[in-house]
Amino acid sequence: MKTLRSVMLVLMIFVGIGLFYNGLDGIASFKKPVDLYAEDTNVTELGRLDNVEVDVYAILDCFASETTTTKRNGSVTGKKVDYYYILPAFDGDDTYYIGLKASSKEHNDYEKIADLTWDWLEGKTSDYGNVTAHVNGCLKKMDKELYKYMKEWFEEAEWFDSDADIEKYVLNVSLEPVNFGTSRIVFLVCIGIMVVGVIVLILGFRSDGKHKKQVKEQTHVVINGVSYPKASFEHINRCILNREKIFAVQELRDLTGLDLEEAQKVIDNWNQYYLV
Amino acid sequence: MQEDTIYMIVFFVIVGGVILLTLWGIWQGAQYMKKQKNEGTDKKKMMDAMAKVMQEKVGEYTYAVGNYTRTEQHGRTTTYYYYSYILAFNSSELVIFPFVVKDKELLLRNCLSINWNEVKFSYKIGKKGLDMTINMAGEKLIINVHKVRKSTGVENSAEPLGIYQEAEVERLISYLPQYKSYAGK
Repeated sequence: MKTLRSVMLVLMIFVGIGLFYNGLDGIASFKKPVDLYAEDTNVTELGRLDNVEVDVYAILDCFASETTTTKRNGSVTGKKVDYYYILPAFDGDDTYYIGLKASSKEHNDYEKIADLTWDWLEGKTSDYGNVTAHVNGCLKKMDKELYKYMKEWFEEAEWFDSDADIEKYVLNVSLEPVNFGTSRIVFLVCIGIMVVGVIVLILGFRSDGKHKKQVKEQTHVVINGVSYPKASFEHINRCILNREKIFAVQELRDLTGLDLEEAQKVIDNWNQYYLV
Repeated sequence: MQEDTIYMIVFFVIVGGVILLTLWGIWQGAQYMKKQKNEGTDKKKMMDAMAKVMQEKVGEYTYAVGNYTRTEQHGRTTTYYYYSYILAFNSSELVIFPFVVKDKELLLRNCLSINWNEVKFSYKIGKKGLDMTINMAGEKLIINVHKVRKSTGVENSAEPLGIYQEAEVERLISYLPQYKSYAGK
């Protein structure tokens, strides 16, 4: 039971770490998707636990990219580039701007949408065009550096009249794509393991408490129907703890008159007789 | 002074310290055994303890000290078990007393009078003395009995007593074939 508890505890730590990273996405996966561009959607009211979907038709620009390089024994084994775009979002007539995280796969599509957006902004075309990209994910807070880059983009573009407007309309969140199917399964598995772990721990502690009570209450040891004061077997128990089985057998025989075979059987199953 | 030089000095101080400590330990052990050869205080301590215990036993007994060390490994934890024994024996009997030395007092922890009908017995004689194995109750009891039981004088060690016992071990060796003929039936 103790081994199982230790294994469960280690497993729960790993699952806890998994839940820490995936838990919020997991919760969001059970929610009904909110269309970011629906009329009644207010982007400022959306939170980390909302399942957000959007058909992206306008993008301002890519304001940052993040490269993750994996090295093994000094040599590069993998390289992953994430791009952060500026995505308009709305609350009634007000336009806000949030980040949009994209992988290398989506990079070209988003660049195309950004070009079309600028064509429209510069009056070259009459609409945004018909290129869209569907994104389903969560709004996650950007780190300080990313948010700084995003605000710098607006400063350099002189998009707003004042810094106060930048603070107001440039939101410190980024829409990051999430595979909700996988997140839901992982979340359910983690919760399942946690529940089983908690049950195992509770049962273990209860069993420990019960055993401790039994140990405390045991005053006599019954061997082959004969009751002996527990205190008289303390020395035998010490021999067993000291891995001196032969001496334990001999001592038991001296105290009980058992023959060698019987005494050996008792010593082999000592924990069933003498509770510690 | 350069950083490498400092590391070098620290390294030599540590290694030198360990070597000096080891040499000091060996020297202490040698001094202790020298004292035992001249005065035999540990042997006397053992004989006194046995005189008290063996009063009621009929017959002449010779006494020798043996020991056994073993390790058990569970995962990354290694446990060392040290066992020290006094053997009381004559041509047909062997009584084994596990003991410890605590506060300079010799404490007998148990007593096992060997019933030759219940054990299997084997032994190996070497230059230093003998190693004997008693099989009983599905367990092996191994005892190494050396002609010189070396000790550093450290109470809580595998060899708490330092004893010169060549004559006693020779006598035990002379009895071994007899023991063997009783045992393992």
